[in-house]
Amino acid sequence: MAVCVRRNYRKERLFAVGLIFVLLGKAIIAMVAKGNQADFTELDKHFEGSVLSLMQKYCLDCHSTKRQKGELDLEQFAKLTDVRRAPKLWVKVVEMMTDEEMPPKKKPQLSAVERKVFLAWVENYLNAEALANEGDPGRVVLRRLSNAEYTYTIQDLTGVALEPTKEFPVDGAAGEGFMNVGDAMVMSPALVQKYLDAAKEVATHAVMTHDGIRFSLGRSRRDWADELIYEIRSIYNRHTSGTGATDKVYAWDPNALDRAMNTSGRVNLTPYFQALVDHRERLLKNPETAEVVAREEKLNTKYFQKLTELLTQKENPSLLLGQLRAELHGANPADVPGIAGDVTQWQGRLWSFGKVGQIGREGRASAWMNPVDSLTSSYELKLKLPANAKGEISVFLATGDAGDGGTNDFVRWSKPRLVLKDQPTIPLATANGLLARMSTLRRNELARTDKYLAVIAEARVQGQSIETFARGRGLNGKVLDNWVDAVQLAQFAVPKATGHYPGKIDKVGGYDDIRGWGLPATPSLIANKSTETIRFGTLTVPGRSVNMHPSPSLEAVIYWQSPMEGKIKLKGYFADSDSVGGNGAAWRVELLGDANTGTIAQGEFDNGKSGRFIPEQEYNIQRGDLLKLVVNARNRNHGYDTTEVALIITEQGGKKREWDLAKEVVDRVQESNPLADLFGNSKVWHFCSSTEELTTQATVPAGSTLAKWRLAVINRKPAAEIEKLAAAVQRVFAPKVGGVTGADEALRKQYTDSKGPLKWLHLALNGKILEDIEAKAPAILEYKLPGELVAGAEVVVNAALHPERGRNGTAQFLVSLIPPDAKAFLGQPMVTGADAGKKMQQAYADFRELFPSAMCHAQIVPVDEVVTMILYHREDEPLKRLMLSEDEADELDRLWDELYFVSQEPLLRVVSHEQLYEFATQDRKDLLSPLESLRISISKEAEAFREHLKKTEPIHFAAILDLAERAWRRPLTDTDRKDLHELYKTLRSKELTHERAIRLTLARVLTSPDFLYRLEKPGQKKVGRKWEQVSNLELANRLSYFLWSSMPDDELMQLMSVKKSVNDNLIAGQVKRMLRDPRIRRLAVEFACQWLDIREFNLDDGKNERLYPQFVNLRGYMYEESVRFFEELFRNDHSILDLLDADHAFLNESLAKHYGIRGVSGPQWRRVAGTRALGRGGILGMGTVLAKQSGASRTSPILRGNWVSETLLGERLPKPPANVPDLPETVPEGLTARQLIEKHSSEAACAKCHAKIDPYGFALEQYDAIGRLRSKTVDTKTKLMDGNSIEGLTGLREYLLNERREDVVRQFCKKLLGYALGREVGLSDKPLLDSMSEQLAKNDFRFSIAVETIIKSEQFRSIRNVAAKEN
Amino acid sequence: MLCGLGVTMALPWMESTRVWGDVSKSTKKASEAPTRMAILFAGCGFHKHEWWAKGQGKGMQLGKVLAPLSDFRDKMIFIRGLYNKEALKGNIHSSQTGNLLSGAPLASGGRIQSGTSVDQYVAQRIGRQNKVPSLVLGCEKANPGVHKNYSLLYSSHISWSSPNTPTPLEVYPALAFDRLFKNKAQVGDQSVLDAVLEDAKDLRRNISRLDQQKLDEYLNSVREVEQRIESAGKRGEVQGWRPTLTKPDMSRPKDGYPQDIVEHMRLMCDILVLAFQTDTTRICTLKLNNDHGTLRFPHIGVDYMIHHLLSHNDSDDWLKVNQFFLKQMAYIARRLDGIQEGERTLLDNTMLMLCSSMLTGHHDASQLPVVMLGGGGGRIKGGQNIDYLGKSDRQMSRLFLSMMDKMDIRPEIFGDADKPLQEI
Repeated sequence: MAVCVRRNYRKERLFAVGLIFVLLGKAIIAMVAKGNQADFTELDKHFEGSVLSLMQKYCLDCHSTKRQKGELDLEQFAKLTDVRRAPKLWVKVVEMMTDEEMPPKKKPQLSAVERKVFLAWVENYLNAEALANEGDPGRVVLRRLSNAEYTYTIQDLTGVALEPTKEFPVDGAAGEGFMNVGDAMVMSPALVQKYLDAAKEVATHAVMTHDGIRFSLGRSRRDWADELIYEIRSIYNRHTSGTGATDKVYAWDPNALDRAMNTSGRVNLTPYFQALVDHRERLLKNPETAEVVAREEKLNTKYFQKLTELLTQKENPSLLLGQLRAELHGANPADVPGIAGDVTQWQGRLWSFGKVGQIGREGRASAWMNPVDSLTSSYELKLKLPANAKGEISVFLATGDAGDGGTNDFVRWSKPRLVLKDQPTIPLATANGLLARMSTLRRNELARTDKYLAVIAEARVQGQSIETFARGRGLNGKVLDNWVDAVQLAQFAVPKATGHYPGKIDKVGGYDDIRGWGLPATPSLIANKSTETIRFGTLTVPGRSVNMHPSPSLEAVIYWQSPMEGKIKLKGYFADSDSVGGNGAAWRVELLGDANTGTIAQGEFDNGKSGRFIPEQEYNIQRGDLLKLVVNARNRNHGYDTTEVALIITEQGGKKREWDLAKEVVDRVQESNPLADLFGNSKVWHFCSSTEELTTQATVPAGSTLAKWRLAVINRKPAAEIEKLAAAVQRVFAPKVGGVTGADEALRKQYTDSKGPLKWLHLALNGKILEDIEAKAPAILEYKLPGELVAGAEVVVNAALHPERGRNGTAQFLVSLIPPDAKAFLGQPMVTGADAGKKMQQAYADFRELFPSAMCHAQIVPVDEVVTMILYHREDEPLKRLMLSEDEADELDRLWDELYFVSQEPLLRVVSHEQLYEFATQDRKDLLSPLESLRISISKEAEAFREHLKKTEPIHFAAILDLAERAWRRPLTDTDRKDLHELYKTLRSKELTHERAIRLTLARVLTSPDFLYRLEKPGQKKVGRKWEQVSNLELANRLSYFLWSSMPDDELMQLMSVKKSVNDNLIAGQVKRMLRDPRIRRLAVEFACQWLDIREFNLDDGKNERLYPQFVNLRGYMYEESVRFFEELFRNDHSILDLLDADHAFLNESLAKHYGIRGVSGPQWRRVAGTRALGRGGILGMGTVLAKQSGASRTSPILRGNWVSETLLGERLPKPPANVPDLPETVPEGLTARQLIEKHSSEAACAKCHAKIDPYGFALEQYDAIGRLRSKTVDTKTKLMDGNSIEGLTGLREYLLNERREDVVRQFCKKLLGYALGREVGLSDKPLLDSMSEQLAKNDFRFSIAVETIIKSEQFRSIRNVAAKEN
Repeated sequence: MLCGLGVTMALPWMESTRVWGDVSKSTKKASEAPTRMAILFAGCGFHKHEWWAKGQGKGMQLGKVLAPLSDFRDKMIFIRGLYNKEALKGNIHSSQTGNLLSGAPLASGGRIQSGTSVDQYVAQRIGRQNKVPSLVLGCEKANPGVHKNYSLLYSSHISWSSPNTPTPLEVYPALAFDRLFKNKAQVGDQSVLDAVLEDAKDLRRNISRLDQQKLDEYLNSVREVEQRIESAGKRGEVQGWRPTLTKPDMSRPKDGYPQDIVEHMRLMCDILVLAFQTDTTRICTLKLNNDHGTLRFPHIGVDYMIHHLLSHNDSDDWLKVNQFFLKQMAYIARRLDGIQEGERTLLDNTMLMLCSSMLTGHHDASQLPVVMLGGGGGRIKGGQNIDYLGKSDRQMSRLFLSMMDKMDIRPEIFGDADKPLQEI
């Protein structure tokens, strides 16, 4: 469109005034000279003479109403009013005339004067028409957001770099060639579907938090949580050492994990102490300077202030801190590491770390970092003595003064004692003489063994009580008791079956055939009467079998009480009847009787297995002896313990009877308990339970003299024989007896042992009580102990300060085998008296307060257990208290709240609890009970969280309203709110979750025409002026879509939504702000790059890859250079002439190399000055422009020239003629690109145009097809159409800047205006363009001037009335 | 020259079925397979010396560009000499492409104005019989910008839903596949669309007529999507004839834009065939590239230069590329011919037309390259070689009238033509 008539033509015409039209023409030409002053009356006067007559003469032959050649009817224009109906057509007429396309060459031509006069009138007319409609906002079709605008708006709305339009169809351009013109913004069902999908996709990035909605690049809870963790860690890492991230630690490297755990979240104290010491004087003088020092030393201010407080405070701090302060006051810089080391050691002592993964479990630490009070009022010390101790050994009870002097350290060792398994406790103090006492007792009493045995034998034979016979014999009653127990001969020693099941059990598992005896739960005994194997539950009960089931603590027992006397043999087995699970069971067979007492067989079997017993031996039994079959749960691991048992007893002599447990019992089991046998003897079978007992040990070694004596007694041998044997027994015990047999050796060993059947130790201890020992620290007490007595024993003692005299004391205690030195007390608990304890505790607490071992649990995600229910563990109280500013602390709280909320941890915990429980059921039964105990609290928390979630639902909906208001770029109406709420409710009623309903509501906001279109309300007036000002809000939108291609930000929105009138200053202020904003880059891309035809050059595919393989790697850099150039120009408000004239370029190493510019290294971008001399700076030397306007394989002066002409100068070129001859793609041998073109352009048909455009291109020929400077100098001298001669890029630049500045500026203005308005620039915009050019010229061509002129213009601020004509 | 604003259609076009008087009652039996229409487009014309055919029927001799079609000579019509008068006005890529299928005058300057293209014209009349009224596919993304005063929208679109609205093309195979076969609208979509439709209706009240027309594009599009959701899954009542395939027999293509042009074109061809075979749609355009095309063809060793620049020289590489395009047509034909629908093959029931916006790479639109395969439901006689060059009424739109006739649509005028080509 050539609205403006160019000055050079005007000059030319002024010289060519002819004679005929002198009078007529003068008036017209005078009007032209005056500029835009002509009015329509004047024009009307001259219409007939200067236009109509010439039209009739030269035009109407073809362009009559009848012929309408080229669909043009000029005959319709009989009057000025006719002309005014179609001003645009007259613009074309001027173009055709000035380009000398009309009248056609073959037809009669206008004389120079006629031409002059005709054009002058039309120009005048067009000027008048432009003025008449000056400021018309024009025909602006409703604009959809372009893909770019949509993307930017979504990004500004969400604050996240989403790319929702990636798969959208590419937008079209229209108007002045930009992609923001309503005409080219189409809509279709497919596109609506894409908008819906994109909106839903955007909505998946919405993160619903406890206090609203934010957006994230991620779409899963995991992503969102990770983002929050990252932010939380950033705060942690800002203040503490170690990265805190164990993410990169491999699970298989526990050491690495430990290292990470041990370093993260810590603070290195050395620099802090260093600063305290270095700046001590300054700080002491004025503690306020701590802030400055902290800044200088790059330390955390708050923490350093706290430490300074310690250094400078007037009152005395408690013990440990007091010591530290004293040290700091006196320290040299060189002492600092030592001091820091001490503090670290104390930290280690006063804090301990638990496993985060175990928090919440029964008996585990409730935190990661736990205070340790190595301070107690009393505690128990234990020392295990060596099992192989011999001779005399020493045990030391030592007391230290805990480093604070021993003045008040009166201590009490409470009940020091030796604990031996199955033995009486021995007071430590008595142990020393004990051995001697015991030896004497033993020697004396064993020396009268015969007397003891005699008493027993007589009592037995005569069937009377022992006491009767012992009386008056001077025997030790206790020793006699022990003898009776040992030989098991007295009447009272007859074994008895006890613990009979009290009740019957029937229909076990629902089967009539299975019955038995038992306690309601377990233990029990059942028998299967049928011959079938019966399976129920987890049980398999074989046909005709007897089964026992113990409880965890009770054994199941079957006794066979002998109805006979004589020899038997026996055999049988125990077998698991319940092989589903469990750990099998333990069993044993014991014989309890006169002749033999002891365990015949015992064993354990694993799940599903069995154990068998068939002793070779015959057993000699008496009437009433008991054979005992026992099953227990094996290590008390209860479950699946039902055990089948079989037993067959065979009488060896006499009647050769056989007792088969199964045969005897299965049919009659419930007849009675005890049950008679099948031979008619009553009370043979007993079904019982008993508490678990130790295996019965035989106390009389078989075959020994004592055993012989015992048999003799039982068999009522003659008294002499019995006495003789008793004497023989005594001889076995006599000292230094040789020739003792194996069995007697055992007898002797057992019966002289201090822990043996005769319980010598017990006897020797008789009457000794445990006593306390008092001492004053430091002190070491030594006890000498007999090795053989105390081997394997444990020394046990309680230690404390003396309750009265030690109240103010602090001491440490130690029990050891070697005399301890002072170092040995390190790490021992501090034991304090009642009053000292409080003081110490305070000292520790104060220390811990200031010196936590770790400031925070920086890894957040527990990694110290294989399975844990805790997802995120927060422990950062010290950090918050000691190091964080209020804002940071608030931010940290917010992040944690959000993490907790977003990850929905309480709900996840229910799941992980369940999983963990399942796991424990299989593999870790020990965890079941602790886990079970958590169940209620976990589900309560989950419930509470669900409640919380419910409460946040309205918050999210409110956030959607806020988003809608921003997305729609206008205040919401009540109807809007209601509608959105309706939709939300509808979606909920379709059983969508809150989250999905919110997301869909958001999708609806983003699919609405309010979002997708830039709606503006037209003026409603039907008469008067054709347009009205838009509202302030609409203006705000126009501003931000012009400058940012996106929605207005909050500031702009707020300012503009104030009801009162918005003045120009306010807007100008906003525009200045917006131009400086980084979002102005979008104007660089959407306006500048689009105008210069290099938008998305980074994807340009137009080069021959064989010739230019490097291009594909460079095109992105070239593009970035251009974008950065424009962005900087706009942001810093440079002259728009910099487009041509800049003496700088934006470069990185690769691009600089490509351009042949030295001294730029590294991939980062920088502004390089002084590039003009190197052929760069400004758009003419840009790789983008030079390459884009080249062919694939060679440069194209035509393309470049055409670009200069059309794009930079806004010249209109006529259409190329049909059947243009081809140009080869590659330059033929022996020619330059220029020569090739010159050959082509010399053809007459082409010459006219090419003469106009090619020279511009020739001037740029020094640059090759990808924008490199050619190494060889080529001819860039050229003569332009207007007669100017130029050479090279410099010549072209100077020409454009000087000779054609007005055209370049005007073209820039026209394009910017077209972009700003979203339409083609028209006739009525001419005065505005004039004003823009003028203002720019007056103001150093600063970019902002052009923008401001547009923004103040009527066009920009108005909209046509609803009734206005559409053209 | 003076382009007045065309009267934008006030009637929502998707409601237009049967409103128009130009749909004739089908002469087909209900049990007979329907006729399908597919238009392939290749930009920038073909090799100057190798686009020709001599003789008739099976013995027809073909230029090298057309060689890939030689198996189908008896089902082929080679048409020479048709043109769009309006296209000669701009006489450059975009102005030659934007009205290729409508013959309408194009607006230059900042405006967008063409005409409803033949495929959309047909779709608007009979497309609603199928799940998808028409399928508009492409193998190259559209070009932005303005070239020689014509928006490049023209260069990138041969299908136009209305004179102002180029039909967006689907270039993602996966999305094209979804368009055909994805039935399950998600819960809530309908409610969302209802709501935005109400928005649009409210907004429509206070804006200018011009803007109303623009908003109507939106309004109608939303309605169409809604209807699509409503009718998803419930196929229209099928009487008599049933397609040989009811579900896709290929898997959904991978998400994203195919890196490889061979794969891209193959997928799009397969989708076209599948759409016809399943009777999901009966009308399809497939734009193999843009008129101002930037494709490269590494698989035949022509990766050094983009399509548009190749077209300016009639080199051997250019010929290879031309053949590659014709091979796509042959591929589709071969697949269609392999599907038996009653007595005829699917190819016999199809009109598969390939054209370009210019004859050669030198912007010569005075005659257009056109070749057609398929029997048009038994109404088109194959093996013809017809030359209209030099004859008076050689409007491209006459061909469109002929093609529409086979679809039982017989408007009095289409574009700049008022009578079909007698030979076809």
